Amino acid sequence: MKNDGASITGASVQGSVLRDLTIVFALGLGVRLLWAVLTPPWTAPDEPPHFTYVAHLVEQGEIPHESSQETHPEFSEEMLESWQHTFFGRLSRAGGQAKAELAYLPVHHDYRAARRHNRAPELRRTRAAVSATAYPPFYYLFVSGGYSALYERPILSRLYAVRALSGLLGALSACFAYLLAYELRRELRFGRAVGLSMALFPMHVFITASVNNDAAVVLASTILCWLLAKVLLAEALSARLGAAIGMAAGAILMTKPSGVPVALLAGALLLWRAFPIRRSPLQVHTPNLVSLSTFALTFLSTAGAWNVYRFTAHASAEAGADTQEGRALTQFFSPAGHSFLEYLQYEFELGVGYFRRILIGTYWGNFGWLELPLPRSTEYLILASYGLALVGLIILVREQASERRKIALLACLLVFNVLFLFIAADYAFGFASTGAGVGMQGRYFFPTLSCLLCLLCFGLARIFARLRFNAAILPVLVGFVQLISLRLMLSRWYGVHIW
Amino acid sequence: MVNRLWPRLTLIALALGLLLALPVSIAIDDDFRTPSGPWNGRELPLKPGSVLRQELPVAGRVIRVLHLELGQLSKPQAGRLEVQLFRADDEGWTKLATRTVALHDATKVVHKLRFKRPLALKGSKRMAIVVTAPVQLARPVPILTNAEWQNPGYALSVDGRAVPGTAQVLIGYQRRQLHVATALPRMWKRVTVFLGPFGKSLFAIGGALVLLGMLAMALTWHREPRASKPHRSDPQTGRLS
Repeated sequence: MKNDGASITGASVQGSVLRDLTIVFALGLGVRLLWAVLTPPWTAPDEPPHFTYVAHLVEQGEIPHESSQETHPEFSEEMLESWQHTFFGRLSRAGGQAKAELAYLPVHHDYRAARRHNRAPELRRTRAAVSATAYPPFYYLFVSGGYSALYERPILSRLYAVRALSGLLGALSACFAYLLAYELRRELRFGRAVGLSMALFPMHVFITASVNNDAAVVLASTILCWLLAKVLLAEALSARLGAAIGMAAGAILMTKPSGVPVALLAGALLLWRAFPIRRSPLQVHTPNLVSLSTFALTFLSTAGAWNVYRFTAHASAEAGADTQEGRALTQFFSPAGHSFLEYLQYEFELGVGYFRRILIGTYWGNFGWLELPLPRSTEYLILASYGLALVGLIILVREQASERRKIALLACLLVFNVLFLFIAADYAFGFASTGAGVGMQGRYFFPTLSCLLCLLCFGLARIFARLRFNAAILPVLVGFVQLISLRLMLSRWYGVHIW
Repeated sequence: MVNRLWPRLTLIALALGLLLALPVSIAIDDDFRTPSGPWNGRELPLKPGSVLRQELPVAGRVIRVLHLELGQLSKPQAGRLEVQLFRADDEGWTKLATRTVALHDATKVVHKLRFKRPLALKGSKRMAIVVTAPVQLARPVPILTNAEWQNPGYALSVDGRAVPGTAQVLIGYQRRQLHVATALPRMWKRVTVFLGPFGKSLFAIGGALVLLGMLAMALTWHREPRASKPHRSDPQTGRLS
């Protein structure tokens, strides 16, 4: 192999990076297209409400919102009939039962009715978008292109088209994960390893190959993580970089709140670069201040535009304290609710198994409506790799001072994301008023998946530094878990058991 | 360049060959599983000396496995339940197999009874599962049932008296054993049940992208240089030594 070091010209490195990105994108998109068509219809978390949002946009030409005037049903007649045809609720636990009724999709059944199911526009209308109604429209506007393109086709074709576009966003996330790793280590092998790992990460593949706005928030967050790496390592910042960060942070707020921690850290990092606390605390670095200003400007114009529209156009139902954010803040500070101390005690009593289920189980792979987990032995393998990577990271930061800031950035993003969501979502939205959590899932932490993969890759590569292909350990592990996941999925839903 | 290409292409071909040789079993009949409600099911206590009988329609040709679900035992006990399978024919009921279920593990709920020699149903339309609790048992054994679900053709009884609901069972029918290479047409038919022309084209594009991506990766992502020991950096300046 050609050395990745300084002997390579800039043009050839750029060529290699572009080629690598093409390969990562192709693999990421290919795997997601396969999952998009293999996952039975509606058998992904919250897919019906998200698809309803898309349909509402196209069929009724408006962003869904709660309105007392609306007489249409929650879910369209067309979708409800499709559920019957596709055994939704019988194939999965989404119907509320303790166990799915069907062992797999019936062998002796005529599926033509399911494939051809297509109803007139008046039977596709909905009141709003059920539980997805409050979400910003960025993701849905993008994927609605697939729905519109196949408007005359059966509902399942429209579903697969929307899933395919969602998968496109997921594949792009893998490309930016590549760029993040390459930005930090300036070696193609790390970029390839992290890009490939994200392209094949089982739960990310499954979620982004379904209709779910996680695909957009993870893309925007991964872009932002990459840009933050540039901020960390740049001598001075530019207005262009500030604007890019502002747009990425604004895009997060226009997709889903789970990326907010990354946006917050972006602002904090820019502030720190603009006003560095050194021997002269009042010292201001002008170029960085310009960058901070362009960040603020672009952030406010992107996220702000949506919020202004939301509070003016849908003012009657969503203004003031009726907003989700208003309720969360009220509950957080309300003395009448459950205290944060009670929440900590509640979490402690849930035990290690609860956190393992969220941070490993539903993070790496729990398919369907969280009823098809990876085998326990696979989880142990993942935990072992976490342990080894942690040791590797400790050795790395002790040996190489130049890597400490990079590892610190990744760790801060990861830890802050986890803590913020537990406190802001699980406590503020749930426990503070009800005494129970909101039901945390691993995919809520996907905005910093690229950071985790970088840490795992760097740590494992260091611990196995003597091996020739030490950077390839992580993608091999992820690829192995991907194969296990595919096997599990084929067995559970189709009765096809490989090995 | 050509010299390095052939070993890699050979490795890729070998990997593909291994994949195609993998064994695969495909369902050819619909396994039956008693639906469960939002609760975990109602426990039907089977007293020592009692006989539970669950009749149900046949949905396949050959039985390979039977799962029987018990409720949570309060404590383990000595003794075994006897489980018999019957098929209905013109002459009445023909016994297919007898198995026993141990009760020494109080935590075990699902008991899987595999039949090394699968049980041929020979065109029968109905079958029966008979569970007998021996008189020597110390305590009743809770059999899990769905008390709300009883479709036509399903009949549950204890000591000859009809009981509402259906026992929580899974009947697994025999699968077709093949290798991936020979199973591809069947696998394609199974996994594309919901796919029209558009869905199938997405499938083809996805598969092609994966294959091309892996090929490109194998051919262009060359061998890594031997990893050297990381340089130590000056803790004061961060410069590498």
